[in-house]
Amino acid sequence: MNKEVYKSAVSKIQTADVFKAKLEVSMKLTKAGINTLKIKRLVPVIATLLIIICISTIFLPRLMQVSVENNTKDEFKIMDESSNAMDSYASVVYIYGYSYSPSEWLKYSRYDSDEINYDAIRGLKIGEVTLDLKGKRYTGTPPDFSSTFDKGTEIYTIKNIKKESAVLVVNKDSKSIFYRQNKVVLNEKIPINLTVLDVLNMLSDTPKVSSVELRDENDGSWMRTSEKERLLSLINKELPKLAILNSQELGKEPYSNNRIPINLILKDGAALHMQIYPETKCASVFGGYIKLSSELYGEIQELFDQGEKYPSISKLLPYKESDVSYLYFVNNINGEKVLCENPIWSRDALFSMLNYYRVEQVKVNTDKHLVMTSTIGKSKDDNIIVNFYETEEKQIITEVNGVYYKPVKGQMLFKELSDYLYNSTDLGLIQK
Amino acid sequence: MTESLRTTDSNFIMEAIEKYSDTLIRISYSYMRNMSDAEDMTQDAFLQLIKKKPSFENDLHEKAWLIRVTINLCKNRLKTAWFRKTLPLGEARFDFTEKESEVMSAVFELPTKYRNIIHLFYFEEYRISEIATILGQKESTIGSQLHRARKMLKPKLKEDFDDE
Repeated sequence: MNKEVYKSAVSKIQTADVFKAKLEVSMKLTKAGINTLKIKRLVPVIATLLIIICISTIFLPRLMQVSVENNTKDEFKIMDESSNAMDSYASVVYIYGYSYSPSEWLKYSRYDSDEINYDAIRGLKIGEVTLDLKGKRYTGTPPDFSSTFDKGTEIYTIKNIKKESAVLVVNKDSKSIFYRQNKVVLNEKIPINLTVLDVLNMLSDTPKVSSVELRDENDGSWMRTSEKERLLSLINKELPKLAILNSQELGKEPYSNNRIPINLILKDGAALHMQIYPETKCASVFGGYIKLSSELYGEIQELFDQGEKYPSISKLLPYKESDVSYLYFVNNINGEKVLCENPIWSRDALFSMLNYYRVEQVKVNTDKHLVMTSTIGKSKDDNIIVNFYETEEKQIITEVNGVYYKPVKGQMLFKELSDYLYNSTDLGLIQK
Repeated sequence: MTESLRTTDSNFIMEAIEKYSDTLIRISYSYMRNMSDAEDMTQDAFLQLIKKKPSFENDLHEKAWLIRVTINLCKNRLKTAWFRKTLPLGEARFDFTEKESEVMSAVFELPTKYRNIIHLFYFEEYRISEIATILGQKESTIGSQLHRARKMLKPKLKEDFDDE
């Protein structure tokens, strides 16, 4: 009721026609102003350049070389500091002219667990963040060891992994694996000048693709892994020689409504993420695009059509997400109970967790203990009980109708369940 | 990348104004609580679009970007020392019914962060995960804030905000 009243009231807040007209005129003037300014600025620049070129051509041939070099340099400059500088908020570290960031797409590709022993995998220190770009607006390409992390954040290699593939980023609050994602170029019109083989060689000393993971385009979760010979043979034959193009070089609009996210898994476990756009048969990879042959595209489409090999936990329930309007949870570790009074938003968060993990049936293991009991359904009388058990390996096993299921890929932790209870149900409020 | 083509089109800003000005006015109004400043913030957001010419993956991405820019502009404006004028809701020129005024007053009495999430969730119908992306916060934080906002509204409105 209140929700509808609110929507109706807000609908009455509209852009006044007079303001819209003013806005349009003002934007046209601004656009014209920007263009004029650019042209005006060009005149003295061109004149100065002509003088320099004349002088240096006649008197100082070496100076010309230096000046051209300087003019083509993409100089980094911090413009200002502002909370509007949202571009600089992504978690990224620039090292060796490449950007590294964490990637949901690659989660569980190399490490099939969230319980990574970072101290055990930590290699040598290769540097630390010298320039904190958080909240700063800048032009040009950021220098090495600049980051959206605090100055002093340490960067380490990871044992048995090439630093050109991934590094370990350590600050006082967290340790995370950052993957090399793309070459740093000033803008999308500058050539990337890399082939897929160059990238594969960066990531691994055994740059042959040995399997392909299909990922869910909604949440990046793992759906299936293929080792189909024909698919791998086409990938290994065709992809390495392809140049990675920027959008201008590609010459067409690559994006379409759908995408097929896949990870190419190399022999040593390194992974390269790609997204294929069905309408154009192009794929985005390492910050640019490649064109796929119809044959290869056909194989990838077939993989996509196969969809998930195992059901997600949510598919084990006899209710569609939209039908669920009753949720009751018991945390069996501390005895806390919560009946969700407004289950819609609790349901969204629950299903996003249950959708993520694909599970397979497992035999009952006696070394497990019940950590959470959930009652999920339409009402107090129309529901199903889902039990969550924790094993000795800290993996959550789900029980539905007396059958036990465990994630095929990845690790569901009790922490995820308890965070859900405190952050997405009334329990958090009761605790407060 | 759709956008790199679109941003070269001189009409792109007019299309954006047509498509998103109401959305941005509402977001700004939710923050600033008066139309004059809401219009300023909306104009500044479109200026950012012209200046930055970002690459958008699709219209939804473009809309989310504009919303985030608008929110940041509003936050900045609210932070400035000279910003003191906050007209009460009654001085706005909207033809609210009595019930609408009651609900809007209750929502507008909420702290800004809660007001904003209520707006994005109920009016713009973004999912919690999408709001988290737009505001650059964790999903769990948004979920908790939405929950608290609803709890704060309940005594004022004498019933749940969302009775689904």
